[in-house]
Amino acid sequence: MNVLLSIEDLHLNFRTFWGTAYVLDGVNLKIYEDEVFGLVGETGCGKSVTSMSILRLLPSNAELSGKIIFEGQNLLELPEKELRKIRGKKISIVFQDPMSSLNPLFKIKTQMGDIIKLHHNIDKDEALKKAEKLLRAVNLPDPHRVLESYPHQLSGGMRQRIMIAMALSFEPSLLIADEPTTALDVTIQKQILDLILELKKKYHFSVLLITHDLGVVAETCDRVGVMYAGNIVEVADANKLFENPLHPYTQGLLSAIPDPRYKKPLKPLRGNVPSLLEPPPGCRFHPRCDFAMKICSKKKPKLVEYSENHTVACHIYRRGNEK
Amino acid sequence: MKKDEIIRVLKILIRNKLSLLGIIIILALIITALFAPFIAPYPNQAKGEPNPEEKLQPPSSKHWFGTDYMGRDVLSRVIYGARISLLVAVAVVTLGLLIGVPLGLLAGFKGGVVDAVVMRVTDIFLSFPPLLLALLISVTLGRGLENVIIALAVSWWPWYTRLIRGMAISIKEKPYVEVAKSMGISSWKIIGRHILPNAISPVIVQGTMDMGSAILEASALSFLGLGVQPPTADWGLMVSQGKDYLLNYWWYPTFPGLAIFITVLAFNLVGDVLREILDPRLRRRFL
Repeated sequence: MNVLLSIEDLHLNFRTFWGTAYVLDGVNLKIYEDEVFGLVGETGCGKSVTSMSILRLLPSNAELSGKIIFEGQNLLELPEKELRKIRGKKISIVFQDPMSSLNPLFKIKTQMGDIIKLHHNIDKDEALKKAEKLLRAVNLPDPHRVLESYPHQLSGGMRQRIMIAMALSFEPSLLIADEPTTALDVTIQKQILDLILELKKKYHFSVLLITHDLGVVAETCDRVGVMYAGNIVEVADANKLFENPLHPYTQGLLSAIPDPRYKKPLKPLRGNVPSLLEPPPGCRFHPRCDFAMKICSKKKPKLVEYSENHTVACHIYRRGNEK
Repeated sequence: MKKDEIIRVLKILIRNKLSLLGIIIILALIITALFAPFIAPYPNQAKGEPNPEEKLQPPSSKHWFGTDYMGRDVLSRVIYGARISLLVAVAVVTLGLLIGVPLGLLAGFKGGVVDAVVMRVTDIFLSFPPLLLALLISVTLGRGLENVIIALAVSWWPWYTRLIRGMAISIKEKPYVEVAKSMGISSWKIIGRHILPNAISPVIVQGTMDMGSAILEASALSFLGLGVQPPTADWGLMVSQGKDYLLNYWWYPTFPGLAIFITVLAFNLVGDVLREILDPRLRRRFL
């Protein structure tokens, strides 16, 4: 499989009033063509910010360094004008909150038309036809009525379908879905995820699915990356990760999921998420880790291959250095 | 705003008694201004022709509002004065919006240095008492109607800049702006399509109310001798000239003063109701 997008040693700092927040601390990530890659982690671990870095949609106090290679270009060095040609066209994002992702003042046809006309260079009628086709592709019944509606006349699920339709206007090669189902109820969640998978089969794009819901990951993803405090700690095929979690944090996450089959008590992770203003030295997880060793507070572990398609960043798995 | 939304707002404005009163007064003023030569009983006197035989006559069936010290019909002059006042109101607010709104959008959307520079400039303008600044500018430019309009517009735009900058800052954080950016839409298009339409409501309200204030301030400048020059009929100028006659010939300054009062009131009535309609939290009571 070919690599579609590769993030190499991505560092992101935010200059804030309280000092510099070290939000991403050397993220390495590869997304292959035609796969669903899940990025999981708790709130504030840097999942969304990683995805926003790809299109450089960050506030002005952000400092980015590293490389994001997409189609042979480093997106971090691309001028704004060139980047705009990639945004929406080759890489598009579906955001978390469909309720406010549409401008309340304009009808759907205006908003979709705007975007379709933007890159396609076609007139209004053709743009509307294309919009109708897109809405049909995301299984919205009666697309004509939807186009004539204002956002407040549509439900959350419908709006998220519209957002997906807009994101797919140009048949992008990467769709970033930033917690696309968090604001929706469970049945709609399932429908939206199924829709994304169905469209993926049809159009063959890759999906970067950002979520904190391990159930969603198990159901939809081919490969999974686990993030903790600005680091990717483990990357593996989805089934491998659930069967054999290696990193203590991943193990902690999985044992904190309630399992209806066994009535065992949940085992929460002890301690709190570290402050990103003063992250712990070495491995950022070591203050909360049950297996912490001396080296953990001194040296940052690198992602190493444990078995095929399963890498982990933890000193425990360094060969020949078990003590 | 969309067409059907404008129609809805207009409907509510007409249904509300206070704003209906305001609208009727403003419409009456516009008609008066447009057809002044046909409505005024003595158009020539309104344009300045003296009539020494009838000077300082009290209100009568011949001269409803009495006559001034040159014997000119006050009613005719008040009617002609509506032209000047409405012109000033519209011109000042339009100019103020044309300068203020783009600058505010730019400052709010771009942030950083642009924002800092624009805001410090507005701070400088706002640190003057408004009338004093207008006074300084019109003294510098010289007398005359155009100069009054320029002076007022220059002292006016920072208010709009401030208002729209604040709106722009809150709107640019909305998810739909983020979505537009992620789709590769250019900054200018985002400003035009998303920021401006969502930020404009409070500016419309402020602008409506400011029409009244502009008339008031233009009258003040005329009163101080800087605005329209005699013999042109202007409400402020008439009040200014009439103030010396107030004790013995009350009608001379009173009727132009009333005209100013009623006009300002009308704009404020409409503006007030407009504010309540355009503010989603206050809108409910009209629906």
